Amino acid sequence: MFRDARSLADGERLRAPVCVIGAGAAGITLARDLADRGHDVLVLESGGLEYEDEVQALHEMEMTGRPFGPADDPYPVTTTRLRYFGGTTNHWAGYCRPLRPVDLETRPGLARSGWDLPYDELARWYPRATEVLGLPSDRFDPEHWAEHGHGPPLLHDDLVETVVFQLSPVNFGTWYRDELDRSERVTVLLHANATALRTDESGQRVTEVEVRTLEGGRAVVEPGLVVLAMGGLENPRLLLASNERGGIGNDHDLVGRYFCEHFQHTLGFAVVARPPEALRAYHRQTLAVDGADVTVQSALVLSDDVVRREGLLGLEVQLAVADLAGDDVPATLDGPTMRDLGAVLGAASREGPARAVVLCQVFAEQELNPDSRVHLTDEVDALGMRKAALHWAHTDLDRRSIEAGLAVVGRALGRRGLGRLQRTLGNLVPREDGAGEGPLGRIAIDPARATADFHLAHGNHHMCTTRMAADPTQGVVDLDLRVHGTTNLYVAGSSTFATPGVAAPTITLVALAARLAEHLHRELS
Amino acid sequence: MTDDAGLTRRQALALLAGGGVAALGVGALVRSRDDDPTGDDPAAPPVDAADALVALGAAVLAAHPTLLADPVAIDGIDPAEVQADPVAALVAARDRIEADYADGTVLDVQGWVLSRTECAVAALAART
Repeated sequence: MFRDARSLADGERLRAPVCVIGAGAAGITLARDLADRGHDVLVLESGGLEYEDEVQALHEMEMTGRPFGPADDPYPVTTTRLRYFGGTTNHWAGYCRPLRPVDLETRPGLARSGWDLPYDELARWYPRATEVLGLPSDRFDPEHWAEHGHGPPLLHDDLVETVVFQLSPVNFGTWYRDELDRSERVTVLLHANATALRTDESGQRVTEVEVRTLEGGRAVVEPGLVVLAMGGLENPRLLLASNERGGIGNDHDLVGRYFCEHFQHTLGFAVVARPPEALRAYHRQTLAVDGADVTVQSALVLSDDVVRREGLLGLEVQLAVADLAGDDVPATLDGPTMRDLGAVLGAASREGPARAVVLCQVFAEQELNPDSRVHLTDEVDALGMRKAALHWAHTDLDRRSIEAGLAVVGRALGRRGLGRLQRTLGNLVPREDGAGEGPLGRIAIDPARATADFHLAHGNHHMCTTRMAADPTQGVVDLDLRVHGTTNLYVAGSSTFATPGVAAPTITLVALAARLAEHLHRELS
Repeated sequence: MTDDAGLTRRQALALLAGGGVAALGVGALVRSRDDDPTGDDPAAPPVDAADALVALGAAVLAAHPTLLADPVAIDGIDPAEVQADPVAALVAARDRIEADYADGTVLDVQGWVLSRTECAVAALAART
C-alpha cells in the first residue's frame, strides 16, 4: 500500500522488520521479493508518485573535477537521477546486458580490479532479473537472437565479439505501482526523506532511521534490517551524514570513493564493406519471441582474451550506420576522406569497397580511482542534511584503454578485410557546410585538434561508491552487501559494484537485489 | 543496373567472388572525382581508388616521414610496380595487409588504424 509521510503525526515512531530506503529498481525489486517470501517491508521514498521540483532539489550537489556533459556545456549530475517513486527508471533507456565473467576477473597490473563475488554466484540471479525487467529471454548472445531474425554479427571472433542487448519496457514506477498499492506486505511511505541513521553505542546496529518531510514533519523508523537503495550518490551521502565520527561504515575512509561512470562518447568512425542493411543488428530491432515483442540491439565488445592479454579496461562500441554514398558522411577538414578509405579498401581487401559508414559510440569502463569520489560539504539542503559534492576524476589508463581498444576494433575489421576504422579522439567539430542531417549528425573531423586529453562524457551510471569486497580495508560492504562493521545495515544498487564492468548496470543491480532478498529472507527466518 | 558505389551488377559480383580488382581494371570500380567537379560535395560518390591512394599516401608521409626509409616496411614492395599501377600493387599485397592487421603491425594516420604495408604502398604512390 501507499502512505504519505506528510500524514504522519509529528514524531511518530514506526516499526519495520525491514526498512528499504529508496524506491527505484533495486528497492522495488527487494521489497517485492521479500514480500513474496512472506516478510513485511517498509519502503521510504523521498518523492511522491510524480516528479516534483522541490523534491528533486534535495539531490542538488556541487560538481568539482571533470564536468558532466559536453565540455563546453556541462550540466549538473543531479539531472541524471529522478527522485520519485520508480527512481531513475522513470527516464531510463532500458538497455540490459549482463556483466561477463571477464568483467569480474582480477586483471594483472590493474589495481583494485576483480570482484570477490564469484561470477557463477552473480549469474544465477540474472534469470530472476530478466523476469523483473520484463525480458522474454535470459540469452544475450548473437547466435540465439539470430534464430529470431536478428541480423548477423559483423565481427564475432577472438579480437572483437558481438553481444546483444535486450531493452526492458519496465519503468518501475508505473509497471509495479498497482501491485505495490495492493500489497498487504509492502508499505511505500511517500515524501519520506531518510536524513540520518542512528546506531547503538557500539556503532554496529542501526536502531533508528530519522525521517523528515519538506513540510517540517519528523518521524522515526525503528528497523530490524535497513537497506540503502538510493543510488550511487545518495547511498554514500547518507552513510557519511549519519554520525559524528565520519560516517557509518567509513572506518577505512572508503565511503564515497571510487565513484565510477561509464564513459560514453562518439570517438570513432569506420568504413565497412557491407551495405547498411547488412548491419541492421546494430540498430534497434523489435522481434516477436513467443508471442511477445522484444527490442534488441547488438554492440561490439573487446574479447575476453584481448582484455586479459592487453590489460585493458572494458570497451563496448555501439554503431550508428549510414550509407557511405549518402549526404550525412562526416566531412574531413584535411587529408583523406572516408570515401578515400572506402575506395582503398576496395583494392586492399577481397570484400570490395566500403558501402557503409558507421559511427562508433564508445561505452567504456573506468578505472577505480580513490580521488574520484562523493563527499560532504558544509552546506545543508532544505531538510538540514549536509549536501554532497561529486569530484569526478579520470586516469591516464581510462583514455589509453579507449584508444587501444578502438585500435583492436580497427585491427579486427582490417584483418577480415571488412573495413577501416578512424579514431576521432577529440577531433569532432560542428560541420560548417550545413549538410549532414542523417544519423551521423552535423559533425566533421578536424585532424588538427589536440587529442591527448580528449573529453570523456558520461553514461549516467553511478557506481562503486560503496563497493563490495570481502576485506573491509578494500570495500564498504561485504559479499552479502552488509556494511562492514555493522549487523543490520545493507546496501543495494550499483554503488555496491566492486568494479563497473562495461555493461549497463541495471540488470546487474536488479540481480544483486534479488540475491540480497534471498539473503535477508534467511536472516529473518 | 548499378549499385551504390557505381558498380555494374556483374562487376560487383565478380568482385565479391574474389575475381579481383585488377582483372576488372580498378579505375572502373569507382566513379571518378571528375563526377564531382567541385570536389567538396559531401554527397559525392566514392572517389577513384588511385586518387584515394595518393591522398592517403600524402597523409602517411606527413605522419610517418621516415616510413619509406624502413627496409622492413617496404620489403617486397616494388616501387616501379607501384608507380605503374598503385592499385594493382595494393591488390597484390592483400595477404600481407591482412597479416599486418592480424599481428598488430598498424600505424596511426590521422586517427585511421592502417596496415603498415598499405601505408607503404600509399606512401610510394604519393611520392611517385
